[in-house]
Amino acid sequence: MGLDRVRAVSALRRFADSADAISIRIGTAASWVYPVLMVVLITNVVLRYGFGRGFIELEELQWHLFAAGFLLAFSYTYAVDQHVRVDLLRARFSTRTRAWIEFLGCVALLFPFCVIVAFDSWGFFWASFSIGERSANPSGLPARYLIKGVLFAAMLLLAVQSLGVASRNLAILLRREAD
Amino acid sequence: MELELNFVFVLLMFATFVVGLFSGYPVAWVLAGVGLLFAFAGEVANGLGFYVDADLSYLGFVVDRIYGTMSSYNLVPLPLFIFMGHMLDKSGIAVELLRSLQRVLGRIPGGLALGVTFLGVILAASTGIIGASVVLLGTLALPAMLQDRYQPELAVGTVASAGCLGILLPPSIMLVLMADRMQLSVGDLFLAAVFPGLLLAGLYTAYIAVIALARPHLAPRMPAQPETARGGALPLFGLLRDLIPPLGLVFAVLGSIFFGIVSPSEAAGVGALGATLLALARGRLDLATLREVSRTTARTTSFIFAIFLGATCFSVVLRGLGGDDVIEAAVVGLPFEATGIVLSLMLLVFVLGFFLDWIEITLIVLPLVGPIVAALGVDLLWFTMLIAVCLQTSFLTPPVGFALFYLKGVAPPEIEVGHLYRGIIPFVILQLLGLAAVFAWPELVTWLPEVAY
Repeated sequence: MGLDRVRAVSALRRFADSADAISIRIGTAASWVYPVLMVVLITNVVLRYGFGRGFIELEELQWHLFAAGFLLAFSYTYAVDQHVRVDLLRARFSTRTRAWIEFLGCVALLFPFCVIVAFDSWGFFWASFSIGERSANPSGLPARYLIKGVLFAAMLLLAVQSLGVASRNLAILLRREAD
Repeated sequence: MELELNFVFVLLMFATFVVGLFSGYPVAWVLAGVGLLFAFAGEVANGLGFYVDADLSYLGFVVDRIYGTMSSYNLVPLPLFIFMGHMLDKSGIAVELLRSLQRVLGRIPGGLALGVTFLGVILAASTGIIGASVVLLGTLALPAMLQDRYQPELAVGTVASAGCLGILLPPSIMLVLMADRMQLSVGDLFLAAVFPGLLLAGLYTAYIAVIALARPHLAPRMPAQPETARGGALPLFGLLRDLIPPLGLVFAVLGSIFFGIVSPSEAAGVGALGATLLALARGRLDLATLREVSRTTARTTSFIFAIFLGATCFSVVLRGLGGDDVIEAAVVGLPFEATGIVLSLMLLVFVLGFFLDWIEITLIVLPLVGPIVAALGVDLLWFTMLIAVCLQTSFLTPPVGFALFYLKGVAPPEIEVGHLYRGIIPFVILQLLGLAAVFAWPELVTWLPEVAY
């Protein structure tokens, strides 16, 4: 295996490791929304029955937390390889075939998809931010653009993660070729 | 000509999806990517002067749709039911429950098998996909049953069927998702599932009890152990102590929906809090457990919504190409009345269930066929429940049922494929009986939602 190739393989791996690390850090941090969501729901029930009034803010907060929770975990779940796959044939593929499939899937399917949706969601965020959009309900939450920004951030993160997975598999292919 | 090219694109799109699916690349990204590829292909075809009704501009709808999903109150219960299930599992309450079921029920014929069925129902919400549900139950309960010298066929049949029953019985995340896609109320669908679910559970129980009584060597009672020999009251007390809280949890969740006290999201919050307090009361809750539960909840929720994201992109482009018209023409073109069409769709879903988990079927197939059957005057609550039971049956059916495939993966090596197939067949027959009953008596589904609130 030539020196250049060794360098390329280790650079690809380093990039993949960093992408994984970022995704995992953000995803695990975001996972705390679930206990918080539980507390918000319970608080709302208690306030409604105990004090005879519900809070619109708390109800809106529910879907904000819910949305942030699943969006920010897309790339984390990919980094720990827990997205649903059909394993029927995959179990019989060689390591090399699997690496090819994963590489091509990321480069041809996931990455372009993320870029396009990230691009569109940036416009979506910006339209909201420039008018300082808030909840249509007078007593609702301010800063509606924040959660729209989370969609953009999540797609960007997933784009990076898809490049990370592509790199890791390219590294496998390069190394195998040399063997 | 134009219509024909759209039609060719629709067929190619499905074909590409199937190839991508079996490549083993994550299903969510295959769906998203195939949508993208065909929007791109449409763009190119249009540029070349061949008119196709979908291009890259269609992807602009994806963001709007995803935002619709993000801001949907209907879906908020989903992660909380998952949280509840993981909390019961990771805090060790599930294992404790199995042990005490084993201690007490082990002494009555078929008792352990009945306990496993019950456990499957309680834990199902935690797992998200049928595979995970069966794997969890297989790891927890199968060794215990084999250790008690249950016939392997009966043991695997019980575990696989209990894992699948759990996805149907509320609080079920499958039903939350189905309600969202079919524009039904989550509460109504939960209540609709109660009687079909209990009917199936009853059929399983009756079968296990009959086997255990007629052929005791297949489902032996547990020999009295020193612990249980001390006195009859003690294990019974232990069972009550272990059984009442999780059972109470399910009733609290369902009851509060039934009586209209809280919304489904809040009921899910109550369930999650209940499980957390239960773990706390048993001294099983520390920061590490809470962190682990939150993280597994995040991963399960995320893979479900990733498929949501992918399916959104896929169906936006498919719809642009007139794919829903193609399917409607195919369905309505069947030489049947409404009943025959419902049966045909059930058959379709049954076959699709061999390849796809309930998430993909709920997100891709149901929105396509829902409006068609609604236009035929079919009750959507009933139709959705038929599809749910049908899917559950499909997952169990040899040789390709999902549940069997996953169970084989975690079963001890002495369990062979033959054991699985032979063991599951009686349960598949019971499923078909249950399905026929729901089909013949729609009241099983529609009665409870009507009298509730």
